[in-house]
Amino acid sequence: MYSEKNSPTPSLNQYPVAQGDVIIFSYRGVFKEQTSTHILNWIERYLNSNSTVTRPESKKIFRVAVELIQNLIHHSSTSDSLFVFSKSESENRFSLSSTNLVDTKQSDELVSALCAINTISEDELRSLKKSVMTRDSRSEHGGGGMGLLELAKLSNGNIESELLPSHQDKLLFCLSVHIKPIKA
Amino acid sequence: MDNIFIPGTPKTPEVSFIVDARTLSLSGRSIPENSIEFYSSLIAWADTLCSSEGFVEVNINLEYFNTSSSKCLMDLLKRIESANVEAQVNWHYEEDDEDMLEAGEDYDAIIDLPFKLIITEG
Repeated sequence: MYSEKNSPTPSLNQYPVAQGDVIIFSYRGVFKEQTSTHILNWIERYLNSNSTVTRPESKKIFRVAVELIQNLIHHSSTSDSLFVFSKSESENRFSLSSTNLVDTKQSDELVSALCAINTISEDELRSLKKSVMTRDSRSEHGGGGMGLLELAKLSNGNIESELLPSHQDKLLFCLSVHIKPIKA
Repeated sequence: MDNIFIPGTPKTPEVSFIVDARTLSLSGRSIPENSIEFYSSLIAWADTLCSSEGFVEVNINLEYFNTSSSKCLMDLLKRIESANVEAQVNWHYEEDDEDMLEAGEDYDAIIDLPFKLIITEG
């Protein structure tokens, strides 16, 4: 997935885009509320000005961007986090990716959640989301572990993830969500 | 008990909670970073309203909401469900917005209140 596949030590200097994809927008740094506002405004302006993107497709892309960026606000604390919005002409899709450092405990939880999501059908995914919605537990920011489920649902399961070794005891978690064209 | 009117922003919905009409209306978008902070006073208001008898109408007409807001909407609707009042939820969604339609269907399946799914023009 990374553009510099042969690099022995993956780092955040690499962009999580497939070869041939065009980067429309990328931001690396600390993710805060104001950052999120600027990025989402930019994406919305881009989508509104792009006549080839249908409104249903545009709304899906925006929803994915909201979840990925807010995940970065809540779950990354370093200035190295990365968000990339790209387009593949050959595969006719938009991709949104987030990359951030995670510790081993977080990586275990992510692997487990993503394995569960990747092995279930669309209907099962919807049922799982409903059951999580009804749980009383939630994170301090108000979510309840629904972010990955929502991303899987919005993309019809077109999500990819990668955990790569990084410095110290951290791993690099890269999550990519692909949105295919939707007819209006 | 006062009415609540909060203008919408790019991240928070327009809120119009009217005591006399016993209506709770949310419109626009609900994607705040911390939804609990935004929704806690609204949920408390709904609790107070539902402590008195009378039909309650909930109008939800959101273009976007994040997963954090979806939990808060669930809390709001569950409070009304568990109160001793008759109520109806009008869930508006744009034509062609399957995600918002499915979200309405999911709340309808979970919450034991009459739901009306209403198509709006995009």
